[in-house]
Amino acid sequence: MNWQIVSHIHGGHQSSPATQEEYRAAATALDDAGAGLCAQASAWSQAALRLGSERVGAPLCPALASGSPAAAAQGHETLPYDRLIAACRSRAGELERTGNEMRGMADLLIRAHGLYSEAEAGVRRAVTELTQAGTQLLPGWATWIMGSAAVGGLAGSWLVEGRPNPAASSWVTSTFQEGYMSGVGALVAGIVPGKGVPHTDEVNKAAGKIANVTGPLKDIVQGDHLQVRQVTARTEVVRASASVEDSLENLRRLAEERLGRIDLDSGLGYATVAVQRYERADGTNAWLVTIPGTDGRGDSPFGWEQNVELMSDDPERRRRADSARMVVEAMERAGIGPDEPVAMVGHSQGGIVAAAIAADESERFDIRHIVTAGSPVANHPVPSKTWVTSIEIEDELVASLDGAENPATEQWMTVRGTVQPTPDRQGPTLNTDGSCSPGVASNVWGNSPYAGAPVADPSKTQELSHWLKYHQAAYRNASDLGGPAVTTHERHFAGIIEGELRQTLYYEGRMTNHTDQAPGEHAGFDRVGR
Amino acid sequence: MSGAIAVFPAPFMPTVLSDMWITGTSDHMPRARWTAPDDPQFNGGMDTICIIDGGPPTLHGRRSPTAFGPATLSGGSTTPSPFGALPTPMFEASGCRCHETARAGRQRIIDLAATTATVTDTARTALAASRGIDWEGNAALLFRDRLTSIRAALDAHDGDAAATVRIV
Repeated sequence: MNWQIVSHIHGGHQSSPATQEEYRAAATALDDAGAGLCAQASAWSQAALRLGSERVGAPLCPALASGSPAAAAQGHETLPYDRLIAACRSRAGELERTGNEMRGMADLLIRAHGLYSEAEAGVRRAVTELTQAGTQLLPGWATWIMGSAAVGGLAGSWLVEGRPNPAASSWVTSTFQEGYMSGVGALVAGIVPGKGVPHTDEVNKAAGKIANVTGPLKDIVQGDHLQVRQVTARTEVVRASASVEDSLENLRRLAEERLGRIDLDSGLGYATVAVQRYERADGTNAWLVTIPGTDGRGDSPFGWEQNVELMSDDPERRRRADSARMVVEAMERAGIGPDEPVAMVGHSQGGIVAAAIAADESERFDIRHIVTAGSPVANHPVPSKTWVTSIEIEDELVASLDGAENPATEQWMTVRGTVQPTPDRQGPTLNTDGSCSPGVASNVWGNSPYAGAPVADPSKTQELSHWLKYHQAAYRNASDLGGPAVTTHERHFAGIIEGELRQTLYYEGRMTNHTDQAPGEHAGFDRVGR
Repeated sequence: MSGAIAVFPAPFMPTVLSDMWITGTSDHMPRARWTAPDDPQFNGGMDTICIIDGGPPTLHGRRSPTAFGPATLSGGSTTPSPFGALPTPMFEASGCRCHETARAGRQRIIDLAATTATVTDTARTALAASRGIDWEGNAALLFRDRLTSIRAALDAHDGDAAATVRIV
């Protein structure tokens, strides 16, 4: 089984409304014309069937059935049915191919320019608010329904795959995840039903309340002292980057090695971030910070509880999250000056850290652009000077935990990917009549080669789409689509780190309870207090 | 049976028997084209194709209801008889369904070719409206390629439809 991601783009730089309207009309005309050609193909196909049945519709007239006009008995007639039927089928096939190509063109135009993104966002917002309201008013029923759907997904996957698959549960409930989370958040935060409609930050309010309890608990269990040290990689992990795509690949390498999914023999451990210095043509510095996600280790600043703190609506609580503290410490140790442009790229908790730092440390650092993959950051107050490229997958669950759609502004672009199964790639085949049928050139299924982008190293069965390879495929499809939003955001990101890579520094963080240790007692570690 | 029929004057011919004689099991003889049965010939022919009096040949003394007009008791005919003509078959070719079927099939193809031309014209208009779109990237390149290739394909569809009409 293969998988592809079909991307839709929201926000970012858009053409003028008049241009959008013109493009929408062009897309509609292409799609309608394509549908017309496909309908005409159907008519030719039907004609072939009717000819075949009419040919034998007069059993006592052998001349008609013969299909041979030259040989028909005098006074009788027939048509060259064999040739006609073959011709009708050819016309049908050719017209259908052309019709599908035209519909494919319409699809590319619509997705590249986000022609219906506002309408889509409106529908999504309506579904989210309704689900939120339903969850607030009838939390028991809402939970029962979501739970049943999730169990249904598990049961369905059990039947198909022979084992229960959590990914199927997430897929089944994906449409309602944001609304449900929002509703639960509103209940926890004590928001009156109906008052939450003009707002989208119910989850963040709830996270703030929860973190007031879990934060101190975590400090007791894990410790409150953060130790950060610079480490060295035996091999190159995070390489030079000139684009969002390069940066995502570097992020994947850094993130997946510490999880044991790939082996780069770097010697780097968990809770390691990379800070790179680029030297620009004018001799000034620019920086790129690469931040992996949750590893869940016992002494890691990137644990599970830190997610809750990072999601809080209280900036002080967010600043106190260990992962955010660690990255800030690493940035300061690397020597990032307050006026030097910084770009950040993060996956999952790493993306939330990037959004939190952009929101809360804008006085200390000049964060120009952040890229988040699978991160619920819709309600983080990122200033407008910081461009945001968010990449989310429809059914990954994690990105929906913010309970809201991302803002769609000139500076905030979201690439939203949908996972689809695709047939296995087929090579060319030799037919019995000696002709050759070309193979399927790629694993993309659809009316054009850019109908989607294949997921690298595909899983045989459906899996949770929170792995970075899904976000990479989503961004690749968005990149292939082009369009003003993606092109502008890409240029902005690349413009920040444009220059020669001079340094790649790695910093590792550990949490400790040891309050009685003097600085340097653990070789190479510096404690970072509150 | 045939001899008994031969001596019965037509007005006394049982309707059922005449129906059986005329219709058989074929749909080649629509009822709308049936005429009254001819008067039987007195003392019918020596054989099935024998011409008695110059009238049209008959089978067992009976003449096909659609052949050469009504016969007289003397076997004469009001219309000239084709001396030496082949016997008229039981089911007439001019009434065969094959004509209507072939005509319908032919018309269907002609109509399809006409509607194909209409549909391809609409497609050409849609392509023309997309020429000025400002767009960069791989998908944009594919889009522009298709503007050209599909235009050529539409011309080919029109030509192929016309060629299909020529087959009929």
